[in-house]
Amino acid sequence: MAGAIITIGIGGAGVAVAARFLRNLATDLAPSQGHSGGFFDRAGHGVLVPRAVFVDTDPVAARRQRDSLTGTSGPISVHPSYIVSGKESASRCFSRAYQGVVDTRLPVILDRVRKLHDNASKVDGFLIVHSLCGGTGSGLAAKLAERLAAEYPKAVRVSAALLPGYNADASPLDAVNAALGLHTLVPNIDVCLLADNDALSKLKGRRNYATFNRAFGRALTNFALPMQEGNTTLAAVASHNRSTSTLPFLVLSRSDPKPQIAAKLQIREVLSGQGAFASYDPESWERPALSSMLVFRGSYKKKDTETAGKELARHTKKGNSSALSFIISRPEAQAGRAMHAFTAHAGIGPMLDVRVRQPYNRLLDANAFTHQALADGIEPGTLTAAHASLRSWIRSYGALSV
Amino acid sequence: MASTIAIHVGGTGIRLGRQLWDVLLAEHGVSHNGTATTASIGSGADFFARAGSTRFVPRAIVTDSDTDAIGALSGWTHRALIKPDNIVSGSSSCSNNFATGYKRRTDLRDDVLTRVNATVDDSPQGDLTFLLTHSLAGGTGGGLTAAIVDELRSQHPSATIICCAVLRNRSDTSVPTQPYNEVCALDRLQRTADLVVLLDNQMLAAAVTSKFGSIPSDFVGHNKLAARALGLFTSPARLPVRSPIEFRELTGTLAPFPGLNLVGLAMETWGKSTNGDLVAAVRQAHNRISGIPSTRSKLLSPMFIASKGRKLSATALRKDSRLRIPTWYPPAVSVAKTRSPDDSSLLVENSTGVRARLRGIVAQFDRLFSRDAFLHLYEGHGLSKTAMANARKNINDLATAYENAG
Repeated sequence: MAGAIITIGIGGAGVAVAARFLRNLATDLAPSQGHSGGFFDRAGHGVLVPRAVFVDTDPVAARRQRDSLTGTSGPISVHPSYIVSGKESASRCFSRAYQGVVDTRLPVILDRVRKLHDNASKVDGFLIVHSLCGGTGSGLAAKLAERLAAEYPKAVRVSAALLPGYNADASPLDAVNAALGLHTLVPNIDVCLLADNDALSKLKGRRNYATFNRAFGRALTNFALPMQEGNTTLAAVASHNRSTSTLPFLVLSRSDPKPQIAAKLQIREVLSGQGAFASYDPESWERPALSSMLVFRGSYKKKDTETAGKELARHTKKGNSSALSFIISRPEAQAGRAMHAFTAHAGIGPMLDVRVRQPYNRLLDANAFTHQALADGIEPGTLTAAHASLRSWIRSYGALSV
Repeated sequence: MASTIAIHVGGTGIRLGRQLWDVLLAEHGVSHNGTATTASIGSGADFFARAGSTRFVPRAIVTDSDTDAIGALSGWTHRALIKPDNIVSGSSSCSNNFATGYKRRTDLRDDVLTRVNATVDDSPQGDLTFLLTHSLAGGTGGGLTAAIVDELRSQHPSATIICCAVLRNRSDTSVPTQPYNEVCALDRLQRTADLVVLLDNQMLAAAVTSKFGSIPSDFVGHNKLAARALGLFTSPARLPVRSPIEFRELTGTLAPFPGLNLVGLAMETWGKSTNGDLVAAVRQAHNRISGIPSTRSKLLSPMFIASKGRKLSATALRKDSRLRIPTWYPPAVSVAKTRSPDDSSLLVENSTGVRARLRGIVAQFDRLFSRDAFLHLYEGHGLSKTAMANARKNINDLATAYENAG
């Protein structure tokens, strides 16, 4: 029996993606598998009840999802008390949510998490789904990770985070939110899965949030399936990642789902970054991958995973190569088989540099868009410390690739 | 739940407010007797109070120190939608004197605040925004507004206050005290409100002339155009393509530096589709309805508001050198897409060019002030010469701060 994993969707994007992810996972589960355990608490009346809390400071996003989540017609059904929303928006401002300037209803959220925790016989960890652009997504996720780390030190904490995108729905405040969000979040989590809307729009060929959320949700489903089916645990994935890197970041990528493409070609496609869910500089993807978790969906054989593993080893630093491979075979997936990779990659450094550090640094130098954070009680030192953290992470990726 | 309460002060404010509500009511499908569907109201529910299951009425308060402008509302189709209690009028005019409106109409101010607080109590708890329309140069529009905003700030410290302030037509010199009023009012409002949206009557006149060939003398054309611009300005909160951008986020996006919170509007009204056309249009003088020059100015924070069909690239607009966006600005400008039926696009800009406008106002102020002209009218109503000199200094310092920013 898989240990329980509690999903927490935070902020507008986080709630939408988490809902999408859990619905996907519920419909994806093989009929032979026991339906409870892992991400789900129990089955009742033909629907699954996820171990999940949906959180927003603003009632708008939660209201939008409430009907579809609490109904019994979909694959999942959530009790309304597990959708927690405040009254005031965080207004795309990290500090408003992190410092509790708006009522984030943190005690209620922690109470719901406690209930889910106590209902399960064994809890493996938490999956926090959020965006780093929004105020709630960045600020409350970081605050919650802090509290979870204090209350459940043994549980693994995984964050699935959207980085700022610059083609779709950008705000000048995103860089500040993302920098402060990462700085406060990363010390308290074990794995951070990265994606961004720019890359998703390139991948999907259109700009539509429903499509992005579906794609991100589907990627999380593939991340979750091996754990849901009891092939591995969240702790094993986290420690596998930590064995090669001190940093928690993983980037999502997948090969184009086509029937009968050789596994060797697919792993190359995945490692070249073509199917990456986070924007990258193609050159930086020439750098080594550190470790990877590969999920094969469709008619793969053991041999295919070995081929992919070898190919990955060629692409990684000597002695650092390692891949966790899982095959998810589904009869309906025969037509299109696809490889999904969750990779710690030296290319993440330049990506964080371009997406977050550089824009943030320019704003810091100009003292622009920082007065709200200071007024809400963020120490001036924290602003510079956030930049220092980003720089040190980027440097450590740089050191790996030499 | 968010709620937005509109307050229309003085003759200009009321006439502009009337046109603004015509736009809002039409966009949300509210009929003259207030009936509308929940679907047509959508996220715009923040602007309306629910009266019964199918009726929606504007959360609006109308006030003037005398009954002239309020009397002018009588022919308005939507007048019945404004609660009679929310129409607050005084008995004597402020006679174009800021000091009268600011210092001597406390009873009227308190009446307005009573109505505001009653409206707040009726509104759902949550984000609260006060959206004011008023002139800067009038005694009521400048003085009473400043008094109201002071009071709003102290009673609702966490609310967002946005003042849509109309600057006078500089070529109209019929009322000599207007420069005093503008300086004093702007000084108060700029420090207490979160955002001051400037509109310029002279530029509105030019815009109306360029579009329709003649200027109607009654400001209806001005106010219609200004109302369309404000309709677009508020549309990310009312008619978003995705989730609403409420006013606090709008304010945060538009004001990168503390204290520099004056924004201007530039409107393109013919629905051209490419990035380049739009940039060219918002730089044309007759589209710049706030009277802020586009030359020799940097955009500290630009935000484009456009209907959802427009194909605008946030990164391409950022790179357009004509906009003169400083290097520290992130790699994309904000583009808010709305479902607004108005096909126009609006550039909301926090521009260093506003310094020229501020200096102009200060220069006109100095011309009177150096001769102590009309000062007795202000001192007689409790505004000392020192206080006025301080207001002048603050506006001048603000111009300097804008000059040094970016």
